[in-house]
Amino acid sequence: MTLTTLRVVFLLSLLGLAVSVGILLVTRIDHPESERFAAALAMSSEIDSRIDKEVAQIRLGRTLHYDGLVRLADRMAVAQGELSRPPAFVSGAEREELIAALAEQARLIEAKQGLVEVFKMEQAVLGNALRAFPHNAERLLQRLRAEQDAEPAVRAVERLEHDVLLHTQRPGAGLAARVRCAVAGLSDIGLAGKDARCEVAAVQVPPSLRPELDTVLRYALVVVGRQPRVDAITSKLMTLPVDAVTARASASYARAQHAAREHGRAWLIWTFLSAMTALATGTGYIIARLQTSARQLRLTTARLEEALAALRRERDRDLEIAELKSRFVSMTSHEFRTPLSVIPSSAELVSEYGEKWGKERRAEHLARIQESARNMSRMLDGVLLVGRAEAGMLEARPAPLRLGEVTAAVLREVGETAGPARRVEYECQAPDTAVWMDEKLLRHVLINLLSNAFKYSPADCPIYFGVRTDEHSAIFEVRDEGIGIPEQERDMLFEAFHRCSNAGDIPGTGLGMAVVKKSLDAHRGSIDVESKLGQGTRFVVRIPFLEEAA
Amino acid sequence: LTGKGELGAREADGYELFKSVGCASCHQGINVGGNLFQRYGVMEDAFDGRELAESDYGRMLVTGREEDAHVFRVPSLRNVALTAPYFHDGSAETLEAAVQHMGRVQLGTVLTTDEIDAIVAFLRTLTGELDGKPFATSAP
Repeated sequence: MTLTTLRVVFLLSLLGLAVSVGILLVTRIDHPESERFAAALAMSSEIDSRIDKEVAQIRLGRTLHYDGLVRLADRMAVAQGELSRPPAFVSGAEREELIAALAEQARLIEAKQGLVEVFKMEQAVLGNALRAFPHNAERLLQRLRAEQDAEPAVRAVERLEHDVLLHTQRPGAGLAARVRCAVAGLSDIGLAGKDARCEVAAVQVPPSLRPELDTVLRYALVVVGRQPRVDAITSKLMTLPVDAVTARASASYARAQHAAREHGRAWLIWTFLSAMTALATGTGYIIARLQTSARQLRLTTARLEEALAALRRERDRDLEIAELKSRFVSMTSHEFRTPLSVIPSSAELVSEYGEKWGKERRAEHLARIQESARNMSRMLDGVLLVGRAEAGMLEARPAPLRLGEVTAAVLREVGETAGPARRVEYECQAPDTAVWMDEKLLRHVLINLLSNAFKYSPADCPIYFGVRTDEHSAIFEVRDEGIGIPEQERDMLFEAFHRCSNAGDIPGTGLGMAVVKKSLDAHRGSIDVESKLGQGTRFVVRIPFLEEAA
Repeated sequence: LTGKGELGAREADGYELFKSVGCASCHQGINVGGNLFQRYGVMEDAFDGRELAESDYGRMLVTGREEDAHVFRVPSLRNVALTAPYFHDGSAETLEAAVQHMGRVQLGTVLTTDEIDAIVAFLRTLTGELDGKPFATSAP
C-alpha cells in the first residue's frame, strides 16, 4: 500500500470514528434519566394500588381521614410529571407507542382522581349517616317509649331502624322503597317526597320529639340513597385498568430500552472497527514513513561515504603529485646539473684550447657535449612521457609494423650507446607479417629495459634478449646477470624518480622503469619481474596486438 | 389530631361532640379539614331560599360540571377562631353562628346552645403559633 492510500484510509477511519462516537454520545442511554423514568413507572403503579387499598380502608371505617389519599394524589402527580418527559434515547415507533400508552395511563389516572374526589365527598356523608343513624334512632326510641300513646310511633321507628340496618348489609331497591315509605309516613314535612305506591298511614309523634325524629329520618334517607352510589363509585374506581395500561407502558419502555441498547451496540462495534482501522493505518503510515526515511538515510550515508572516498583519493593524488614534484625537482636539479656543467666547460675548453689541441682531443670534448645534450633530451622525453601518462593523455596509436625490424633497430641503437664490447644473445622468433602496435611505446619499453640491462650488469657479462609471439601478443624477455633488485623495493620499482638503494654511482634518473610501466599501461601490456640480488634480473613483457580500430 | 397540650373539661366535651355529632366526617385529618370537597347543604338548603350569587356555585365555576354546583372545599379548622367571618360568602359573623349553621344544613341536627358553646370552645384550641408568635386575627 502506498503512503497516500494509507493516509487516506487513516483520515477516513478517523472521520468514521468521530461520527460514530458522536452518534453514540447523542443516542446513548442516560442511565440516571432512564432509571428515574423506570422508577416513576413502577411508582405510578404502586401508588395506584395503594389508592385502592386506602379507599377500601376508608370504606371499612378503618381510616377516618383522607390525608393518606391526599398524599397519594400528590405523589402520583410527581410521578406523572416525571412520566411526561420520556428519555431522549427512546425514539421512532417505540416513542410513539410509549407516549400513547402514557397518555392513556394519564387519562385513566385523572378519571380515577375525579372518582376519588366524588368518593371522598359521598363517603363523608354516608359514613356519618351510618355512624349517627343507629345512635340517634336508639336515643329517639328511648324518649318515645317514655311518652304516652306513642306505641305506633315506637313500632314505626323500630321497623325503620331494622330496615335501614338491613339495607346496610343487603342493599336493594325493595328495601330502599320500604324505608322511603316509612320515612314518608313518619315525616310531616314530606322528607321522602310523595310516592303513590306508599300506602302508609301517617303516624302521630309528640311534637317535642319532632326535631330528633327529623334528624333520624334524614339519616335513614342518606343511607338508602347514598350507599348504592358509593358502592358504584368504589367499584368503578377500583376497576379502572390503570394497572394494565401501566404494564403496557412498562413493556413498551422495556422494548425501547432494548432497541436503544441494540442500536448502541451496533454503533459501538462501528466505533471499535474505525478505531482499530485508524490505529492500524496510522501505525502502518508511521512505519512506512520511518522506512522511507531510513532508506534515504542509508542512501545519503552511502553518497557521503563515496564523496569522502573521492576526496581521500583526490588528496592522495595531490600528495602523490606533490611528492612527485619534489622528487622531480631534487632529481632534475641533480641530473640536469651534470650535463649542464659538462656542456659549458667542454665548450669553453674547445673554444679556448681548440686550436692547440689535436683533432682527437677536440672530438672527445665535442662528443661529451653531444652526449650531455642527448642525455638531457632523453631525460626530458621521459619526464614528459610520465607527465602525459599521469595526466591520462598517453594513448596507444597502433600502426602495422614488423616486429623483427623494430627489435633489431632498438638493439643496434642501444648497443651503440653501450659500446662494442658488450655481448648480446639475441633470439628472435617473430613472424615476418606486420602486427598492429604503437612503435613509439614499444621502443620506449625495449630501449629502457635493454639499456638498464647493460647499465646494471658488469661489462663482461652478456645479456639475453628474446622475442616471440603467440596468437594475440608479442612476448619479450630481457635477462642480465647484474646487481639485481632488492626484494623490499620491488613495489617501488615503477615509481618515477625512484632509484634502488644498490644503484650506487651508476648514473640514472629513476625515470626508465616508470616510462616502461606507463607505456605498457597505455598499450594494455603486462610485465613480470624475477630478480636475485647480485645474481641478475629477468623481465618478461607481454604486449597485446591492437586492432586497427582500437 | 390536635397535637400536644391537654384539653380542659369543656373543650374535651366539645371534642367529643365534634366527633359524635358528625363534624369530624369532613373536618378530619391533620389539618381538621382541607382534604376534600363537599356539597354545601347536604341535609337542607344552605342558602335558606335567598337569591343565589355566582360565587354560590362553588367548584362548578372551576370544573364546569353541573354536579359540582354548590360544592366547596371543606376548609381546615386550624386557627378557625382567627378567621371570621365564615363561609364563602362571609354570612356567619361568629363561630357560634357558623357551627349552628353547619349542624343544621350539613348534619340535619339542631344543636343546643350548650352544645354549640362546647364545640366552639374546642375549636378555639385549634389556634396555633408560627415560629413561636401568635397569628394576627383577620377580624377587625
